[in-house]
Amino acid sequence: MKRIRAIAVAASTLALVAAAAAWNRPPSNGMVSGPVDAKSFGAMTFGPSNVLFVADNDADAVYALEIGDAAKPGAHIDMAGIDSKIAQALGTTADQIAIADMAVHPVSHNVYVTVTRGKGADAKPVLVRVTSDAAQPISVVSLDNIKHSLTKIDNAPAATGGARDPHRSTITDLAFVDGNLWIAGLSNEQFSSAFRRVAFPFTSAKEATTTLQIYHVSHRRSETQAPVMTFAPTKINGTLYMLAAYTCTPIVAFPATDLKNGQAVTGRTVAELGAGNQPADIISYTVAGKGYVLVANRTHPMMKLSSDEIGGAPALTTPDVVGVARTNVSAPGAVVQLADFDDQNVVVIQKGASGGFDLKTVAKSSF
Amino acid sequence: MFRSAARVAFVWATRAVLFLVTACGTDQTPDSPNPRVSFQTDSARPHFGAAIATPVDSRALDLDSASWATVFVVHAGDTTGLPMLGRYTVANDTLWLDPAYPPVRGTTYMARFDGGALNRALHLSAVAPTYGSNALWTREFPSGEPTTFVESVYPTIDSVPMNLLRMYIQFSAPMTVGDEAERHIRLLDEQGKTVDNAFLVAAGGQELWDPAHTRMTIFFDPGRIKRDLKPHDVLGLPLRTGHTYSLVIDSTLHDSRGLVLARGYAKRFKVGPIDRAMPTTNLWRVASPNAGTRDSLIVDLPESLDHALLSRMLKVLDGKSNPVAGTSAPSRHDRRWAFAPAAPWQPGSYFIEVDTELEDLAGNNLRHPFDVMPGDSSTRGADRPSVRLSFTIK
Repeated sequence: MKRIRAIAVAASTLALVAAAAAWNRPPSNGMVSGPVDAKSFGAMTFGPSNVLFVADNDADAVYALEIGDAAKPGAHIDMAGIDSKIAQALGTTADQIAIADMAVHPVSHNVYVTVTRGKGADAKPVLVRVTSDAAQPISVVSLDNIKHSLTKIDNAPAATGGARDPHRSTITDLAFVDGNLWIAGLSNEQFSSAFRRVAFPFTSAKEATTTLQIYHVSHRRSETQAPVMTFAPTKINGTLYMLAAYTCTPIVAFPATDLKNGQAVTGRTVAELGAGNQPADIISYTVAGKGYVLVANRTHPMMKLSSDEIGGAPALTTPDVVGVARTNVSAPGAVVQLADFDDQNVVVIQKGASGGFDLKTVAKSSF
Repeated sequence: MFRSAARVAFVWATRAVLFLVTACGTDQTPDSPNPRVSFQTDSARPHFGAAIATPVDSRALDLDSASWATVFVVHAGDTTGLPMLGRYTVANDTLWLDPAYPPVRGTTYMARFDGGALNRALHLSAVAPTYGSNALWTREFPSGEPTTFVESVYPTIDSVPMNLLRMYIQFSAPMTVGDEAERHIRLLDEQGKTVDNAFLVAAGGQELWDPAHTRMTIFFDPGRIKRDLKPHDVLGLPLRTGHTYSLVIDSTLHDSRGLVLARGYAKRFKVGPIDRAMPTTNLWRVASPNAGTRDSLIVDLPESLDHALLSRMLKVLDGKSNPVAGTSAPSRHDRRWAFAPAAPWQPGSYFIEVDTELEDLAGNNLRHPFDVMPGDSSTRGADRPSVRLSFTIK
């Protein structure tokens, strides 16, 4: 008798569970089950109801994916050589993968990582799940049948009669705030500062765009535009701010209520973290009732700032003043990915002793 | 990030190839056959192929995937690491492991069947000694002559402003994204010395490519260009008036097939004064073609504008503001824009609609200069999304 067993390894378990759970109820959040044919995976962030937003820069789109993780007791996830381990699970070596971003599931605290596997024509986007489960520490989220929706990012169309439009925005960071996805991006043709917001569930409505401006530090009247590299929605004394980190490395506060469609808004530069540097990630959190902001940097150490000080800080007006005090909390350039993990911890990917990269949960109280 | 200097080639043909690697290892129990392990590649199977073990113990046919994952695994490169993810299928007495991803060229794969683990899964550990089989297979590197090259570097003009904002590198075929371009693209001064920290490295080290991956954008570090920013004050502008520089693109960059470039490329240019003036359409010269012809409308510009933006930010509208179909292209070092209509020109009034975000080589657009200083009243330009130039066809 011919016997056939087709058993999916954990790679597709999650999608099956999600699909089964969705079977008997109508689509919600405008999401439908089916295959997702992503061209690339970049920045990501979790929203409400197990929704993960993932940027697909090659498709000028952001996907919303339902990641139906079950709650489980909070457990630290520490994994030395995470780049090698992900590469091994994907059947390749660490030099053949690139990690784009990291996000933590708010219910399960599993860590999700966007990875490009392979290079050139073979490059494939992969959404990797890292868990504290020793038997299956790394698995892949199957995109064969997953509840999803997408929104296209509005890029300028090609000129009349032009060939394929070479213009594109690369999304640098995402966050979900009060029913809206906030999107920061970098254009390959303009040094623009457009900051987009799109409502979720996604509709056909055009995204809202605000042009962000910041002052040159030495002259308050002198404004400039620049793309936001990474940002964090942060509530300080009841006011919601978009805290943006720019190249070379001003930290600028924009009150969320100022982010209005079609308008230009000027932010308040509250700190200069130093030249010759790029911010890698920025997050905010609270410990013992006090708010803090962490900024991971490509050249400088990761730095901790006080939210209260940011809230009350005057705009910087002279280049010799660096603004809000900061504490160095890592070796220079050590932390390449940073995300909030749970009430007590953050999770980082940092350079390891052996030349690879380590995933590590770190207590907020230790900073 | 996460890219090492070591370079492994990677291109992947989809033609059918069959590889069979004979099993090695001969220990065997009386109860369990020692399966032969092999790699089979076949373009008809998902992800190019599978690892196979056959025959497997008939008592094992009901094992679940978690059990098989302890028995039959494939490792890439490092056999001490995690095994590849994949899907197990048992057909008759053959166990298939379809890896979740196709193999990478230049990487050695080891498939291993662990008889001891199978015995443990079947609760036979007390009676059966360890046995097993394995197979090795290496996917070969790509072959072929390099054919991809740098077609051009924009701006193509030989003299650029000191505050040049960006350059575009146009390749003849799709390239590998994330190929550590900053290692292969350098700005050299007259002495052949590399100008350090000249370019912006975007967050996460992301490279800026067009969707076709044939054109790369490099920004000069805007922090060094904008006045009163610290990098400007500490390092100054990366380019200096009166000097000559070369943008060098090494042939070691890889195209999307994994092959290096056919040749390197060097773009030499002289650096002129700083340009902080907004471009204005008042100085454009429009040459109208004759009615009944399909001759090109020619717009001559007093300075080179940004190649990418000039390519897409101008439109021709008829007297009723409807777009006129046709093809357009910049030329003459982006100091000319020509539009060829799809149908012969009809007599009447027309407009060229210009997006006011159109920039010159220094990032100054029709609305404002790239770099605005306090007290400078000349920094306000157009206050609308677009401006129009009219012309008449007779």
